Amino acid sequence: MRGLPFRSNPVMLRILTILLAITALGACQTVEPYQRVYLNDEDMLLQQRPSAFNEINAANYREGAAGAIGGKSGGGCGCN
Amino acid sequence: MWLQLIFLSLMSLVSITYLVGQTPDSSRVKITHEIDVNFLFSYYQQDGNHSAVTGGMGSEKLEDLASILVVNVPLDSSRTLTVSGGLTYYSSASNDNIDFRVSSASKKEFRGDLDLTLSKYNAATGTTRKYQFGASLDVDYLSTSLGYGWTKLWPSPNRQLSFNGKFYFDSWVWLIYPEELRGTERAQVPTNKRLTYNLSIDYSWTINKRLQAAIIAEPTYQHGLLSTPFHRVFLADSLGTFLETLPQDRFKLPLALRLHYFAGDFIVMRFYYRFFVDSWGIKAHTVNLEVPFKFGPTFTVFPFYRYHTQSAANYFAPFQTHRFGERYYTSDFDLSDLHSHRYGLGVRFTPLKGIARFKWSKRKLTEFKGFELRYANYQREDGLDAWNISVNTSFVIR
Repeated sequence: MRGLPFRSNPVMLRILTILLAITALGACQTVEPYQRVYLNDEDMLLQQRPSAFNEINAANYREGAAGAIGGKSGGGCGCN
Repeated sequence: MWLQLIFLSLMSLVSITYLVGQTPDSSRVKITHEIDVNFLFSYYQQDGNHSAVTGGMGSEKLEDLASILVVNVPLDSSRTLTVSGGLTYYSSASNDNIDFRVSSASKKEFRGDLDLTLSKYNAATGTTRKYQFGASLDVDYLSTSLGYGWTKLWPSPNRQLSFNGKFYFDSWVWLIYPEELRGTERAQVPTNKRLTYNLSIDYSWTINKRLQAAIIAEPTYQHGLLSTPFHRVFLADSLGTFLETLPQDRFKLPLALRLHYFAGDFIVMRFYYRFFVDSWGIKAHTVNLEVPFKFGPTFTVFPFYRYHTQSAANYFAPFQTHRFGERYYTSDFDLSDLHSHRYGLGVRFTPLKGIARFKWSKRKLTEFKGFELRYANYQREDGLDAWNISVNTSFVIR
């Protein structure tokens, strides 16, 4: 057990577990176009809402973490 | 000032609507699809007592009024041009304290930005290529960007993979130092440039008829002046004012998971989690849950909650805590050890067949497509409070 690379890093271990679980979920079923009534709903879009743009922008500046959420993740001084 | 901004925004909307309405007559480009127009108006206000301009102690009062217009114009059956323009007016009490001698309640400034994206879809391969150019200008800061994106869609099973690369070339047009340091040897920075290399990798797939997911990685490397030249630092040794000093390199790696599940017929669960790590020692976790409730086909109410926690950057210390001789200094609480909560409510109205139709030209009909109103409250554990209200209206031009 001493050789496990993530044994000393529980955060990384958790992230790896989540990613593995998601990968397992990736064994997905084919959904035909006529079965996409729920998936095509506007709230199912895999992206942030346009109305959240300024909130994301503010969070990018008020917190040290940014990115992987859509919108700008570079550019601008963020100095106010 | 507000009236001016609203008037300017509405005039922009009218002008662009008029221009695209004229396109079939005035150029050889053949429009075969609908033109989407989105207009976002947002007001943000914050207050706190840890301004980096005054060394980690002092007013952070800020107001920000933004209007953004996004127009999607299909040029033909495969190419789309997206034009996004924004104008932001802000009023910052802390920026006013850069210069103590010229004092007012707060400093008022404008920022403008423009972004152009050309997308080309290849039906034979199921791929889309994007070419992007953008620029934004603050009073003292210019940012330009170039980007390229590639997306492939597999219909069965339903999957999508995207790569988006972006390069930002930023520069401080004027280097503004705290007034007491101007002309002294402490008022020096190594460069006025900042380069950002950003790559976003996004893989999304359908798990079943009600569930879909995406994983996103967005490694980003920055080089240049990553500190702000008017941020002060006061040391424990009481040796006067120093400038914020930060490394010239920063590598950031956010990894995110998004899961959207349609439960029953009226409720959607939108879950988002992000892990973030960077070369300055920050590790962060962000969780966001949004639950839209559908009241019929046209009306949706969506409460949301977001929690964020992060460790401090290696170079952060609060007011009068840094010691003389340290290599890097910052008292910017944005880089501190913190927890934050954001919660709020949104409503969306999307009439099935559109309402409020009107004509700007003889051949083009503009139709109101939808409306979204959103309010959010933000609380950071160090006492910074903020709220934001946004209105997004969308139109379609046929």
